[in-house]
Amino acid sequence: MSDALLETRGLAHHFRLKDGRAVRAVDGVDLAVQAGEILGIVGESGCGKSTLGKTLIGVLRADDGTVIYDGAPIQNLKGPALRAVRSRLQYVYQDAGAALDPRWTIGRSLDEALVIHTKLSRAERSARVRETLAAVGLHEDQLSLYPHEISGGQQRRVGLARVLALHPRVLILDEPTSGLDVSVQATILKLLVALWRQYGLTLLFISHDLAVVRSICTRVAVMYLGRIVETGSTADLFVNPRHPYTKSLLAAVPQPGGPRVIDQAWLEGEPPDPLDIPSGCRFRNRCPMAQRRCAAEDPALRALAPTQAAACHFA
Amino acid sequence: MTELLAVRDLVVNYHTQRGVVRALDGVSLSIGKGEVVGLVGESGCGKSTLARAILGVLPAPASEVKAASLSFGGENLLALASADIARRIRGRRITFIPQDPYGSLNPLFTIGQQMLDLMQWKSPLAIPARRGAWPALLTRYPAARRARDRAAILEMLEAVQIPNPEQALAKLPHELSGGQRQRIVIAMALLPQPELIIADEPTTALDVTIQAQILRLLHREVKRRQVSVLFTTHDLGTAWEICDRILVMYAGQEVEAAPTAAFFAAPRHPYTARLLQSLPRADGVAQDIPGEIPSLLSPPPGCRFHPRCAEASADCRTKRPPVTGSAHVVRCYHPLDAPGEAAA
Repeated sequence: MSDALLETRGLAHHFRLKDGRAVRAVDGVDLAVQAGEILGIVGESGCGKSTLGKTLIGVLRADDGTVIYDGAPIQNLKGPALRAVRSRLQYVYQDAGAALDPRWTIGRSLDEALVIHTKLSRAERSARVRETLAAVGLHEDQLSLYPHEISGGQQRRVGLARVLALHPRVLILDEPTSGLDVSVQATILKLLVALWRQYGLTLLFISHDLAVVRSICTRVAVMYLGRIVETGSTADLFVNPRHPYTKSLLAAVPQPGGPRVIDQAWLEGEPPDPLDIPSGCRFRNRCPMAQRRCAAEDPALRALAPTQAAACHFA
Repeated sequence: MTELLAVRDLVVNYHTQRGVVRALDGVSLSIGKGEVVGLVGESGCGKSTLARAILGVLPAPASEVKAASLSFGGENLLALASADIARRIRGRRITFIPQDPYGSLNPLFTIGQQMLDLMQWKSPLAIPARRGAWPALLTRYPAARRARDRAAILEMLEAVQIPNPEQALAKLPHELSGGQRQRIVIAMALLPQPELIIADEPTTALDVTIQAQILRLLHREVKRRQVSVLFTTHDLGTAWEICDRILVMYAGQEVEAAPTAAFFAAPRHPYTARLLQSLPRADGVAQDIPGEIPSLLSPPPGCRFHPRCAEASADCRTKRPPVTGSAHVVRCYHPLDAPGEAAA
């Protein structure tokens, strides 16, 4: 996996509390993102998927481990070198409306990123803004509007246009469709696939919505309590999940027209307190297959098939 | 099945500074005893307005409510004084499960205090106060009734699978997880022994495994008690899980109503068909619906979906389509074929 575009080795970020304890939100993540793929990062609230995204681009400091972009570690970069990497690696926030300045017009918000990251002239910037605006399906008339004057779906398009104007290589999308109605969600997903093709992007798609991930990602990584417990190509992972957590997660997704989830047996209980992570396998307290070995030994992510790996002794 | 709630041609207009918002345009709905009805639609379709109109909590005087009938258990809710609804019906015979339990529980009081406070007012043991009586805040809470209410609370917490109910009563809302808080508000909705529960997207904020647990719990408890539920949601998946029947709304109009299985097997309204096609699919990206939801300040005349509809004809642009069908009801001039139902 040396040809990965973006790679993490043992990456960790811990949030320290006032009383000295630490929430181990991301706790030893090894992940290799290949150029041109759409990698879904799925998991439930608090599993550390957003923290992973933010640690990847350096918004949050890595407490341990390394992030390698295009063959070189990026944590210790400073000044112009850091800025150059940051314009290639972009993060699209969950709530695009809140990420836009309410007192700036859309045009000014779009222009600002180019002022900071490029040396383009005013005319060139304006041309770039128009080009990306067209790519995300907005109209030039909307440049003079304020964020509150456009719909939630349009705000997300503006958020996308703002980062696309920098011609990034990797986009980290944090819950890009949460809070949208299904018909708007379908529009945004269609747009993301079109942009992925048009700009040759690599996408990291952070989401809790398994149905959405299945429909657009080429590969999936499942997170549980700060760790990746399973990775695999979308086709393999959804059809033949190997980790018991992935199995119970998939079993809980309603399938209109199919068997009802509420009639089935599935995962009981709630994820443990991230301040008090169980020894050994983190999932063992909720796992139907747990045995004594699971409390003693922390299972490592191991390859089970050419495209699939899981962190479970019994997978 | 006996009819518990019957809404006929409900119209709700909001008078705002920008003009009249036509939030509901003649919506009809009926719920039988013990039936779970899903009210499905996208944001702004009028789900919450309909729920609030039934609860009688639309903001006065800005909202204007008209209906051919709005009857609940044989009583015409529109004819009752709002104080009378508050005393006898809301919180007793009709209760509510909010979307965000953290926003509806008081962060400064323990779960036990808040549940007892509810029971002081709304316990099935308490007789509704007479008109003009002292507010309950100023009256005694007899110790014997309090003890019986407390026992009922503990029993209910057991039913909604709260571990260690006694300990949970002493906790503050932030000390519980999101799933636990949702169990608490479900318990609070069931405690007054209502006939109808209005559940406003009760699982939207929850993770998928917790959502499955909460849906199973809610379904089991309401079926056991024969309580009717109006379950509003924008998520077709959760509607599939627990609803007996589904009513779809678009921009303030109801477009289709059918038993759940029939609805998902063969949607008849072009909007609902498109909505189902916009669900994410395993085999590639879903199809979207071109256009946007109209502004309710100046909604399109006729069928409000016509500007986005491929089937639209001259009639659709001027006249609201009539209701056709019996069990599977659709409001459309050009409904899609129904395999099981003869053309009306």
